[in-house]
Amino acid sequence: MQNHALALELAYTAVEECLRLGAAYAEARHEQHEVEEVRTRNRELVTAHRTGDRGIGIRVLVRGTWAFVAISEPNRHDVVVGARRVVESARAAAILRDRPASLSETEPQRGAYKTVFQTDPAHVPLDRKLELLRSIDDRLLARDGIVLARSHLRFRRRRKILVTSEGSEVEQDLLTTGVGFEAGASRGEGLQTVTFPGGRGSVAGRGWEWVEGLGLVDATDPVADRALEQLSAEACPAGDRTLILDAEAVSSHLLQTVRVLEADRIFGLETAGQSVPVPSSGAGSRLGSPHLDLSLDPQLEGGAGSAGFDDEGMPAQAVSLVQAGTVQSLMTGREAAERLRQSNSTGSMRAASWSVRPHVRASNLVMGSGEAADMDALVADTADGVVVQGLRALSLDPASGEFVAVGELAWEVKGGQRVRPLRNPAFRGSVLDFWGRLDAATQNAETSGQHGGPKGRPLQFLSTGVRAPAARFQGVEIGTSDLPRSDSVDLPIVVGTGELPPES
Amino acid sequence: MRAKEEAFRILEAALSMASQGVDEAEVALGGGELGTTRYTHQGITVASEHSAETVSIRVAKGGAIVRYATSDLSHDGLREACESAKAQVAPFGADGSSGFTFPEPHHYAEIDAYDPETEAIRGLERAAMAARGILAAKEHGLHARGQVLLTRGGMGFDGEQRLYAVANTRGLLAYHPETRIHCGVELSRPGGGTGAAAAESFSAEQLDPDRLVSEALQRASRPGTVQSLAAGRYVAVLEPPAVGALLRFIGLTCGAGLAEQGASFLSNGIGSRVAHQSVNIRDDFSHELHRGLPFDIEGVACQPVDLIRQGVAYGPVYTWENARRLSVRATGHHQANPIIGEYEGARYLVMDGDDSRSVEDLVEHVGQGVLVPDLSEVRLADSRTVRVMGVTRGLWRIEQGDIGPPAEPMRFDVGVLELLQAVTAASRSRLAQGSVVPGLAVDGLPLRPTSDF
Repeated sequence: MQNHALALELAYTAVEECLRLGAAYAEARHEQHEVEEVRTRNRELVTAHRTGDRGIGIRVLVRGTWAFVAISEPNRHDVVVGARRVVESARAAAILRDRPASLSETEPQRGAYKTVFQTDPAHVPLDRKLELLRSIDDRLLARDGIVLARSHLRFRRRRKILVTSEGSEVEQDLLTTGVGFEAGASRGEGLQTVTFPGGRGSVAGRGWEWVEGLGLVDATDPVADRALEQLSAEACPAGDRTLILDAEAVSSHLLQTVRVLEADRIFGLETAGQSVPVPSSGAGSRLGSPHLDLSLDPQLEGGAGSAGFDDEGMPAQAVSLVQAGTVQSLMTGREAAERLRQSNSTGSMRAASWSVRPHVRASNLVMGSGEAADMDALVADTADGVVVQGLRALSLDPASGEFVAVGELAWEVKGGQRVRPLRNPAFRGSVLDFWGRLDAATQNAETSGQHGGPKGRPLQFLSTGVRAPAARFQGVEIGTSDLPRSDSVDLPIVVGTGELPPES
Repeated sequence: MRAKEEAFRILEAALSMASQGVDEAEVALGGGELGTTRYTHQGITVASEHSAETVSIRVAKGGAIVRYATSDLSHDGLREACESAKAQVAPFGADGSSGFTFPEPHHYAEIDAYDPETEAIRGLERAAMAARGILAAKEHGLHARGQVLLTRGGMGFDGEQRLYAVANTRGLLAYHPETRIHCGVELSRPGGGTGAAAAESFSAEQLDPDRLVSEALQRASRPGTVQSLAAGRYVAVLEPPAVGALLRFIGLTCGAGLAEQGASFLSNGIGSRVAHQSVNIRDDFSHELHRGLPFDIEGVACQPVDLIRQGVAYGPVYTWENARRLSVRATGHHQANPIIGEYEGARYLVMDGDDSRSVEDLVEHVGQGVLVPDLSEVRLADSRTVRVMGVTRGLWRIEQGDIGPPAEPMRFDVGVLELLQAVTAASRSRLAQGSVVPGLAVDGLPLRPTSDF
């Protein structure tokens, strides 16, 4: 393990060398990662994998042009060579640049942040982790009709030091813990799967104690019940209807929706020539109905994206993104903030690793609550509709804002009651229109964490925490994700997760 | 990327440390360098260099297999990684053996995929290549976006680490040096059409950035304003990048495990007709345009495998473990991908084309229809039928045997095999989207406007 003093020295060396070579701005981010993943399938150990890596990422601004270099296992010589290379790259790239980048003003930051947890998962023996996963699989497989049981645990510890040429020096020690299981039911034809805690598992900025407190083994019976129930369910019928999403599904949707508020997409700083359905000024445009309030909270307790600073060294700050359906602010880094003439960035620059440049990404999202007592109250107040619990997949094109979503479980609602389960629900729309159809939400919100979609090249995947209520939407186009017949003229909605699931 | 002798020294040192006290051990080296330059008509937007290397230790004991990977390749780093892996697997000693063993030594084909001059290319040279696209866009009043990507060793264009050397306690030892460069440019006329061109090789000498810009410029400069098309089934010419984007899913779904589960197009029965009789698709790492890795992630030698021959399903491909279980020969198709993890599939697809025809010939052949240069947002909806959905990229009408006006992007939702049954002609093959594929003329590509779900 590279010691702390050496990591700090390397970061300062990188910044000083870049300035000496002519950079107008330089930052160096030294990170050390430890990742552990354990997976079982039908109680067999499929993956027991630990990874440790460390490196330094150096980003410079030379003549208004960015360049970035990343070096694994760096020593002083590597850092000096890397500094020379990154400044040369920026200088070469600057020749044809039309619009030089500049940064919003900021005060130098000094400080430290550490995820609050009791037990470091790295100190829990593998056989204890495996025992938990096998207990889950055993309970699921004991049920008649359950043919597939998959469980997983994933832990990630990141220790980061960021030094900038403007005098910032911040240190962070971040831990995320992910866990989940999946039950697959079949009686010979077709497989219906249901997951817990939802989607493809949940992620939190917490320790092993969170895993033990989730009641995973006790949750297996209701999950198996749901999976078996799906076998006899009819396909979700098509039509424009009222849609009620549980908190998990709302969270999944918000994670994708918020991509249209990423300023680097809007300005083409991340993907060239991409337009988005939100005006470049951002503030003042409509994103939803008056029932929609949405904010960033980088210090949400247990949030998967919780941190004390972003990867430009901006301190964590709560930011209102949408109030009563009107956009208040885009998510920005310092370059985008300067373009928008914001006094400060929203502190949203995040990188998945030392090896990649930061992009604008949400830390944790918080959606405002409504007035309904709970999901049952929303259902009781709905004459005709569909309840969807959890999302299996959501494909959103940030350029147009169009999306297609596939739910995990669904029930038909008639006269204020759930009357029958439905299979493979799907719904679609445009984010601007969809959130405009929001007309009610529950008082209680739930916190979950999920992996956001990829961004940038190299592709980056980051965890984001979401606190959201269950919510209701009027007049949504709902259908089924069941496969169409090949000779069908009027094709129903068909979506997929985009890739085969692991170990399939 | 380490030289062969140095890589073997590291593997040997790590293997001797990892093998004590376990049933079997395997050590692999992965990673390398990635240089990225991306640009628009406004200049270079990304200039980055990324180097990363990992040694992965896999140990087996009592039927359990544990992996530990580290970026610390020093002696102490290797020792710590080996000890950690062994400590993880230690509790499993009493469980008994699953019968799994690591692969025996293999003989590997010699593949020349390394070019020292390409390895030496840095940010300045990449910027010079990018400048051609930027200057062309400025001169002709076009929008541009493009990229120059260069990898050395076991690194993918998306920064994913791949192994380039592997050894195990059964005596298996493998090493493969590689350089790879990709150059792509897309030029768009505001309110008009888009022209794109891309090429990829192990050697920069084989790429011609000026020709790529010229190709893209020629297409983007075609007259006509963007038209909206109605939903329907279209006679279509798919250019090689569009075919490559579809065939990728054949590669992901041709593993023996999926076939056995009933989740592959091969589950309908090997020997059954799945495509037009003119369709031949195989996996062949040794193809001149691929020059691929001759072994998989466990060091098993890759074998060329026919997947579809004269329209009839063949294959599947096998990992070491599935081949042992099914008592057949392993084909070296245990793959890893940062998004989907480890899987059994084909990575170096080759589809036969017609060397006497160009894409323009196909356009003339179909007379009326649409020209589909590329696809985006392609998602797999069903692995058994290889049904995919997505959006066209840079669509054009075909009128009177020539390329007509540009069209708005359209959504598609189609079975890849269904489309391969509707092939009426093919052009010559080239490397596009990671596969060696021809352009295809097909009857009945279902399309609908993106605004009309």
